[in-house]
Amino acid sequence: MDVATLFDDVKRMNKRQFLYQVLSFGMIVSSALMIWKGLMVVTGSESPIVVVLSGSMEPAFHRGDLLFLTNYPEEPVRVGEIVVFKVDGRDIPIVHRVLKLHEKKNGTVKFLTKGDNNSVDDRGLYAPGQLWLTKSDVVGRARGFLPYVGMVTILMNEYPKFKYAVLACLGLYVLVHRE
Amino acid sequence: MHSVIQRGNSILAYALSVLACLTFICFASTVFLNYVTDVKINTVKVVVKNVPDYSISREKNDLGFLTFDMQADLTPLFNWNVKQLFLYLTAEYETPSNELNQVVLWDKIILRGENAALDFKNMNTKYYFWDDGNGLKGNKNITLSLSWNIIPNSGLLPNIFARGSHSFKFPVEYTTSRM
Amino acid sequence: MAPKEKDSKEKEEKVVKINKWDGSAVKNAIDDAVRDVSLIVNQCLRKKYNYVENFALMDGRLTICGIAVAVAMFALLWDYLYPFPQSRPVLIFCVASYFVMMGILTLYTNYKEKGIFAVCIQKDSSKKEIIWEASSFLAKYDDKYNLTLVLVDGKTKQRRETSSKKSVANFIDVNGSVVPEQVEAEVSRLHNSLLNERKTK
Repeated sequence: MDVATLFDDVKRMNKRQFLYQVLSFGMIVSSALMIWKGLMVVTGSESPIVVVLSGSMEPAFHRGDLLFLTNYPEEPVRVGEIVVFKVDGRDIPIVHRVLKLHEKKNGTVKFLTKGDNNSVDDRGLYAPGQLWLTKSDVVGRARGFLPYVGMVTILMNEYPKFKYAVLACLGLYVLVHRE
Repeated sequence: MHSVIQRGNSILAYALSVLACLTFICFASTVFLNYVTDVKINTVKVVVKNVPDYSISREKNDLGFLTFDMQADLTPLFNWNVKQLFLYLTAEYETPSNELNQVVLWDKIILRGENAALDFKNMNTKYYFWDDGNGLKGNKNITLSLSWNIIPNSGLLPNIFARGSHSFKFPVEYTTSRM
Repeated sequence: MAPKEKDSKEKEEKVVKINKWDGSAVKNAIDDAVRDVSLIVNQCLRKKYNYVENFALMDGRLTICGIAVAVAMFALLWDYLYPFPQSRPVLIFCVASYFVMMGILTLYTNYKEKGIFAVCIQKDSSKKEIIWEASSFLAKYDDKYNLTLVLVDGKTKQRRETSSKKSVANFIDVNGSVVPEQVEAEVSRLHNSLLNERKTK
């Protein structure tokens, strides 16, 4: 298809058809958004799906694997679970396993994590002076696993130009092409 | 079906939906399986010391030492949707300051195809058994139990407790000699 | 630029040329041509019958889509202003209503629109209303363009319909240009057959 004919469809549209075209583009974006928000509500986690970004949990999880999280407040954290947590001063959440846990009578919990593939625990990764994690640091607990699918987002984040090119092409296609 | 891009797109979309379908069948075929088996755990030598854990502070904490025997045959747990077992031996106990303490003493990764018939004699722990305070000396009820986290090719990530645990007590006196 | 050239250029632009192997493009182009024809028919008959194109169906669809997108945007804004655990009740409401709207949209397009792309209302001098509906259907990887004209009597709600099933090759030439004359002939044929049927009754 050459470029000149690309916009022919759009040119021929009347007002309503053009508005519908814009709205259907909006609906594709909104559907993705609402599915994400819906998952947030169902799982209780602010980030219900995460992509594994490091090899610290190998051979269980490799870079680019997808994890599904839940974060129900009434569900206690226990040793051996894989938690995703945020540390002050780090943008990227960490996916590691709980190694030690102490729970007081009033319900306050402190715990220590370690990556399966790391030889030492995570105290070195925490914020300076932080010895334990608490429930408020937790983004979610890994409940489901899907391999490789997150590779796409890793590729996109590593090559921002590629990301914008793909998004622009998809956006243009949806806007220009009538169903 | 009128251009290379459209044909490529159709092939890709079809291939991806077939893959997704197969992945789901793989997940669905194993989701209701029972992954519990028996394990025999026994402690051989148990001592407790009172030394400072310099990684936390200069205060003296209780540090337990133990060696253990363990027999378990985990071969039946493996199927086509089990990529790896993550075994961990947990010591669970109560102290005056904490209602629940869980400390992982030892862990092991078994990939599919590796020997899963375990028979350990007089094993040392892999991690230090630090208490969060001085609650180990004379503690009458420490429960050792083995659990595993199943890492599938795709699917849920259950944590399963083995049938069979072992309870022991720590001596009422600190050991001062070197082990 | 000479005025003559300009003229011819404008004429050229009016020729609708599409990729004839792209099924949805073919269907959309013929649909548009059918609508144009019915408008031309309108213009010819305006004095006599007073045809007016009615956009209510399309407007209904646009409203449903608009509400759905607005709900989604509102959820995005609210979640930004009041981060997640706080915004939970609002999110539940928005997500639920969004998917309800999607359900309504599906029902609307499948059971109300049913592929109708043009509605014309013909007003008689004696204030009798007659509604014309044109709908079409083109199966994937098929060349048979199904065109249906429906005539609804505004008072008695009586429906009469007639349809044709012809290869798109009848309406589009080798180069992929829509031939308005062919489309017009087909629409007129259906149109007249409906009118005649009415008279004979």
